[in-house]
Amino acid sequence: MEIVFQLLLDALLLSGFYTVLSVGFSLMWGVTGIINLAYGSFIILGAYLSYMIYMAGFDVLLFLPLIFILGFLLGLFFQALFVNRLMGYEPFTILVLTFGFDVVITNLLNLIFKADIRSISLPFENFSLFIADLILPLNRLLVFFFSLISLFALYTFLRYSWTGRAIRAVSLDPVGAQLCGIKPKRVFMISTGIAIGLALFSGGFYAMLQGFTPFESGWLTIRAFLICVIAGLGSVSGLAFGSFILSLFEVFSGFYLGEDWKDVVSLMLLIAFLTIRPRGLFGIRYHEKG
Amino acid sequence: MHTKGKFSVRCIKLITMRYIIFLLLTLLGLVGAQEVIKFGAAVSLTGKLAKEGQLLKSGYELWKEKVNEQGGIKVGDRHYKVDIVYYDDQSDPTTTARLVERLIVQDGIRFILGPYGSAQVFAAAPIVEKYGALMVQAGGASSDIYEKGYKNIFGLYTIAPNYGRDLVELATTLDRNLKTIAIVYEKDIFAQDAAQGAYEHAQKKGLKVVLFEGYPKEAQDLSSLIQKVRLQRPDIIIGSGHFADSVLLVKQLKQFRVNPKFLGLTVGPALPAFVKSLGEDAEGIFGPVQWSPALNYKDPVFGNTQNFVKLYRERFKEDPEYHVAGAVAAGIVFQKAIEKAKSLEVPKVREALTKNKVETLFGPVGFDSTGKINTKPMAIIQIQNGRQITVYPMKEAEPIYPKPLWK
Amino acid sequence: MRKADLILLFLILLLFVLPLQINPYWLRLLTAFIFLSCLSYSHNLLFHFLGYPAFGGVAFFGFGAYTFSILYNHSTPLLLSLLLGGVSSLILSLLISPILMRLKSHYFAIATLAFQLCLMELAQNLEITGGTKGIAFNLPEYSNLIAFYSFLTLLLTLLMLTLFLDRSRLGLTMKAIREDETTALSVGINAVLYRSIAFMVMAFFLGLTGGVFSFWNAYVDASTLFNPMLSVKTFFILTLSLSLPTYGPLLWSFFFEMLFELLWSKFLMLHGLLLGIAIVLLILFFPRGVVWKRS
Repeated sequence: MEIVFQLLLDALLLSGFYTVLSVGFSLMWGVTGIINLAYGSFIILGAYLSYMIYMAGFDVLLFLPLIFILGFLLGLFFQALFVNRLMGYEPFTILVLTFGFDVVITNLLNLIFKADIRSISLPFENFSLFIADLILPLNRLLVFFFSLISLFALYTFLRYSWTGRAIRAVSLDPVGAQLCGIKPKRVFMISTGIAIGLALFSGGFYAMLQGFTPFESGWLTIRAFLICVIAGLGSVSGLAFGSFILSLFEVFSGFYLGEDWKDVVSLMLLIAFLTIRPRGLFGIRYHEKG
Repeated sequence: MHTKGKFSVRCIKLITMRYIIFLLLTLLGLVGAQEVIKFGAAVSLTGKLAKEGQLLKSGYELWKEKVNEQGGIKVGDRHYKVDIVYYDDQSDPTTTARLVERLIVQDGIRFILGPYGSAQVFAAAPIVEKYGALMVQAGGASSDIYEKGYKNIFGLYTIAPNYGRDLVELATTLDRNLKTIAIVYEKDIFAQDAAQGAYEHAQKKGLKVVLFEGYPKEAQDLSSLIQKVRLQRPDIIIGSGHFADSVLLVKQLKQFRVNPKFLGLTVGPALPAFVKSLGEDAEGIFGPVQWSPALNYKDPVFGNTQNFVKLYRERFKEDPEYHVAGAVAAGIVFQKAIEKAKSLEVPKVREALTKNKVETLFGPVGFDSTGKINTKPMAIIQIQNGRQITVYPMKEAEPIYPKPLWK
Repeated sequence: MRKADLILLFLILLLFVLPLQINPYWLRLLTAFIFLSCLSYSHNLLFHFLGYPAFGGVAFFGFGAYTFSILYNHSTPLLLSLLLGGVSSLILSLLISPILMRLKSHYFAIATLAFQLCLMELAQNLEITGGTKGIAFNLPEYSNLIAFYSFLTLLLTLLMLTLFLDRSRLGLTMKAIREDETTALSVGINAVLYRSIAFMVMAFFLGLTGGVFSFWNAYVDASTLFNPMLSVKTFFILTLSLSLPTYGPLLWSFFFEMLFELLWSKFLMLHGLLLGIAIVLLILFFPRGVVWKRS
């Protein structure tokens, strides 16, 4: 049936965005071992920042790199001021901290922007490309395209740059890395910086895809977490695959079971993976704490 | 030292002066103070239902101003000014319940002006009933509200199934050859009720329901659903939801180039913001309304409907729509009941509400034993050249049919 | 029994008499505090004694609440509905226990949370749970008093259970498992069995709490009954109580609820933000829980 092709296409386009969404989360988890429950709220923060740029009349796409840098600085602060202090305690404590931040950021955004639904209307948003009988909404195509570019940039950075290699070293073996002269604390700060930068960055994409309110952070964090669980920590390509799996499940269950069953299916997928294969499909490092 | 001494004496003088002024003002205040009746309203000023909620608030405010202008509410031979306390429930029913409880328990208010949204009314009702307060609402149409046996809840909206039913009826009247219908609805107490009304009537009329499916309340993307609709190519599409999802639905129907012959949306077309958001994409869409500014009823506060419409046009530069009118009427209904009961006690006012029939700008208002209004019909409007034109049951103009294709 | 325990029990018995004198506002506040304590102590049965943080414990709270609501709305007597609410949660925990018990504490925590959210979505989709419109009750005002006393009874039971476990050999065994499971296993203690039983007892109490909560609120829906904020509040209190596990939850629930209520009434718009800031500050300065004078 032709509808299957349309659904596959939808899933593909969506997975680009989901990969960018989860990469930051995975980086932070893989390197520092922290599950950042505030991740989703950083994404929403990025969405609002892009929205402000859009309302001021500027081209959002041009400003995205700036948003990334802002996020990077935020991440540095976040790690240095808050997380580093609690690194030695029960891992549970950091979870509470990040949750506290989620509440703070969400409510701050609610205070400033109120609970109304916002979105960025691209000039061509209501138009679509038609190939054969398949529909490619232009805004999704755009986001997919830019997601690919950013992912490629990130992959190159992690693989070939000095910092990137240091990050990978610390995530694989912190002690060994230390012996090579790498300072883990600094690497932590940089990876958290990149992670939050990516979160804000993907928020810009999110704003272009659909409407949003300050209260959506929870589900975004869950999606990022779910993709990391499916894919396992340690590889960007694994994340791409994990994202595709999630978007496949979402799109197909949304169509065949109904939009309201989408989330139930995603959660059951999460529980399934947690119980059967918590390491994920491509996990390079089984990160265990405690 | 010197400066210090001077300073402290001056300080004392200032403080004493201020205190005296304060005392004087208080005394004046007491003497000149008029007694006040406080009403409470927890409305969705922000969130998904913000547009509708804000219209409700402006309606309440319009009533308050007019009533106070006319001297306030008469209870026996005393006059009471009206004051309304507002809280924002952010379009969340749980918050509505908590806020209504706060209004009653903490702020001591007994008369509650209803929230917007059937879900919100449904959440507030048990709270109002539990504490023996009174609520008149013009924000919820779901029939579920009236099925719990509450005695203190009164609603001005004709119930939800009529929204769907009337749309289908109109469609079949315009074209007897229509065969297929798709009904999509927001998973919400009102929208489902309205969709059910549409479904049942469609079957009665012999239409084939090719799709009857719901989408989650917070959905910001209906692509999968629209794909399904597109596959079926239905003649009629009924979208049952609220303002925000109506706009989303139209945008995505256009995005996926779905062109039905008849498109009806339960909430949305009636609001001025609908045309503002969609521009020419709004043309030809039908929407049921609880009231239309083309009507003319007698009204105890504004004289008649047309007076109210004129006042509104002058002030806001646009026509009023039914959310505002309903809210104004809710206030009027409360006012008349209090005046009739000659008392501020809830049981007496409640009694007056059940027995009284009042003709208001919104229409004749009378309630059955469950608190449901049973005196007022509904109408349907269509967007023609950016304006809401009543086309059913009376015609301000001929309906445009079939719906123009997306540009 | 130590002196402190006697004083505490006396204070609580005092609470029994208090509500007949006070106005609805304070009654609501007290009830909220006792409710939060019930949640905390239930979760603590698994967390303090066995070291397993069931982030998604509220799943059982909500499940029991729905069972109660559906039964009560279909003319089942109050007490029976409440009891069945607790029992249904117990059965649910029995069913999913085999799946969850094999997980390590971190993953266990998150899996239970995922389970809770899953139930929330399910409740929103099914007709029997009222879908998104929720379930409403037609109740009189004195139902507030009934709810208060029910919560109080639950709290007393939980307190006594906690105190008993703390002093008993059974509790010692459990704490041994918490400290070092491998060693405990080597001495022949069946860790999984203890964990499963504690899990079920926790579920039972949470189910009961859920039923009373529905009755108290008169209107419930999925987003209230499975609200992750409840989980957060609970574990926040438990984290703060790490150094004083038996009385900590009571004190911190009280403090937290008063703080929350104060913020809500004075700073309606800001309270969410202030709450988040409170959480961040408290955890930064007291990561090990607040150290009580005596310890």
